[in-house]
Amino acid sequence: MFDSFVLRNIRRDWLSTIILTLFSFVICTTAYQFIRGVDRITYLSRVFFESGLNEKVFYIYQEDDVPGLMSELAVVQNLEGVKDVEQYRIGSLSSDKVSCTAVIYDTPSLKSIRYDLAKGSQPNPSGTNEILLPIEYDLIFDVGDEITMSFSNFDLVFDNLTEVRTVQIRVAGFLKDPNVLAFPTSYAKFSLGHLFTATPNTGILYNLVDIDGNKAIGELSSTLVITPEDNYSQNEINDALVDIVRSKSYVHSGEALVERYWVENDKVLFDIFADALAVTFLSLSVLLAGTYLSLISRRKEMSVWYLSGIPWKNCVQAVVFPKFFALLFGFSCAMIWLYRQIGTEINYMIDVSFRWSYVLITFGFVAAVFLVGVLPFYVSSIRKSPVELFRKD
Amino acid sequence: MTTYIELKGIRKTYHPARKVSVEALRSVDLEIKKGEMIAITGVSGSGKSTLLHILGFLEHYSEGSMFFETAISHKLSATEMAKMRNQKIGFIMQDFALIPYRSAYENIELPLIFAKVPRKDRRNRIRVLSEKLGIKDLLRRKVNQMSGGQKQRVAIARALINDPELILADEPTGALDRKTKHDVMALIKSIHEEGKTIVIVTHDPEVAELADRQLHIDDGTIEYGVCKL
Repeated sequence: MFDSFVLRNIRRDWLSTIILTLFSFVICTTAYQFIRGVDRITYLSRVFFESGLNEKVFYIYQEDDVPGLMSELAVVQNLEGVKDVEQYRIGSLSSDKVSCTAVIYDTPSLKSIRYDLAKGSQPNPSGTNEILLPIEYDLIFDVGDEITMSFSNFDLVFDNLTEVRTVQIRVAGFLKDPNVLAFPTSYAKFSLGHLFTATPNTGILYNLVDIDGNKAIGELSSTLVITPEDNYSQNEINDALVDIVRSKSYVHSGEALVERYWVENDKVLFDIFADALAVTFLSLSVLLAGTYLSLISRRKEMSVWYLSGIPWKNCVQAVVFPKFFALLFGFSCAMIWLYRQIGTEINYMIDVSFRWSYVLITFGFVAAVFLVGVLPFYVSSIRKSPVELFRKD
Repeated sequence: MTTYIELKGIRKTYHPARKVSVEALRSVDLEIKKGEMIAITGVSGSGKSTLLHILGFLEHYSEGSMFFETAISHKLSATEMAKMRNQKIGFIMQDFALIPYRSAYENIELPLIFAKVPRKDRRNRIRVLSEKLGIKDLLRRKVNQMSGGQKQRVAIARALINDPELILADEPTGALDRKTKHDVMALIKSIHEEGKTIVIVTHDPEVAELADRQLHIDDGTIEYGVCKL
């Protein structure tokens, strides 16, 4: 019955409930965008660190000159202090249904990269022909689908590799984020954000073999991932390479990439946190003031309820709980609205994505703001004796 | 008449934060018979309202024991006290204790809602009682659009709607003009004649005269009582 009394109050105070619902809607969508913004900005560095790429040195050969690339590769491999050099390969996959660019990760460092997946699971590093596709392909394929496709490299390098091979690939999962380590274009201020590029129709493929079990080799990429020997630092290798290639624009240590990335995004992150702080402060102000005012203005009404036969705590709850109802309703509306916005642009942020982790964090954030905004006056009201309201002297 | 309420050695001490403790009631003994009407008089701050609040389960006493229909062996919880207020007691206050921006109907309905009375029964009971108290035409009117006398009638209706045995009135005529005061006094008298037990806190000798027994309270102690012969 008390619950129905709370509902009755919500109905009677429909105007304040609507206003608070709208307020909650705005706070929830804003908080969601903040969380999404922070996640997007920190995503690449997380992937980078988790895969250990921050300990590597990257050399990006810029010429469209394959013999030149091969000779550079040989030089780098023989450089003192270089333990290993890895490259991904590139090819084209096509079937009657669809085609895509395949970036083939065959080496340990590349296979240790864990991109966030929208669906499915990471490919087995020792397995063959497992592919991670961009999320758009979700409309065509399901996780676990086996697809027979034609594979060809783009290549003009080795005549014997230009042939088309038939391969059977298995969809391991779908990428959440279009940014993958593929096709970077290097320049002086090259950063992490340039190493990972959003390339349309590009899938990540592990250990490609054709239907006869022969390794299918794609075109070598011009990105060299260099692992220094244990007793050599990134900077030593970096400097040695700069001496050879005679340009700082093509050689970058993992540490430098991260550093430049944060310099590039400092202002964006600062803006996000400043906006989030302002919204939090405003929300708290509105909630604190709203709760205080409603508890003060309805104190007389609460005292009448108390006199009529409900505990004082329930009287206070009947005034405060509609705020949580408004929070829940506003939150639900906001999430439904965001869900319906998938694929559209909001505030110049391309491609609104809907992730349950964002939803949970948003709820946690907004619930915390509501608790901090409502609890102090709720607790102080419960502690105050309503009997004082009935005293005349 | 059988004993309806009995207070023994009731003390009430307030401990305001960072202030000296105040003893509002000092060892009060009081027996109220069923169907009796008692008037409690005393100066401001003498403890009469505190006594009324303890009788009405609005607040706990600090020491002593209480009998209310049966012996109360433990300190009642907030929910148990609320149930007592809802089922056993009706309150009539000087400032009417009504929600000003709600209608008379909504105010009278509150104790029934908390008593979980179905909507249809609520409607019937309010209709019957409002006819009896002559406020049927006021039911849809907001309290802040009523005169003092009308408000007090609505407050009396709210006090009676759950058919409680005990009516506690705190200066029920204090905010009324002379004519309205007499109307309300007559109404209270008729309620008493129906067999309700009534405790009135008042400064007004005319109102106190209505009671079967008058008690005078001073500095938290009941000093003397006057019985009607």
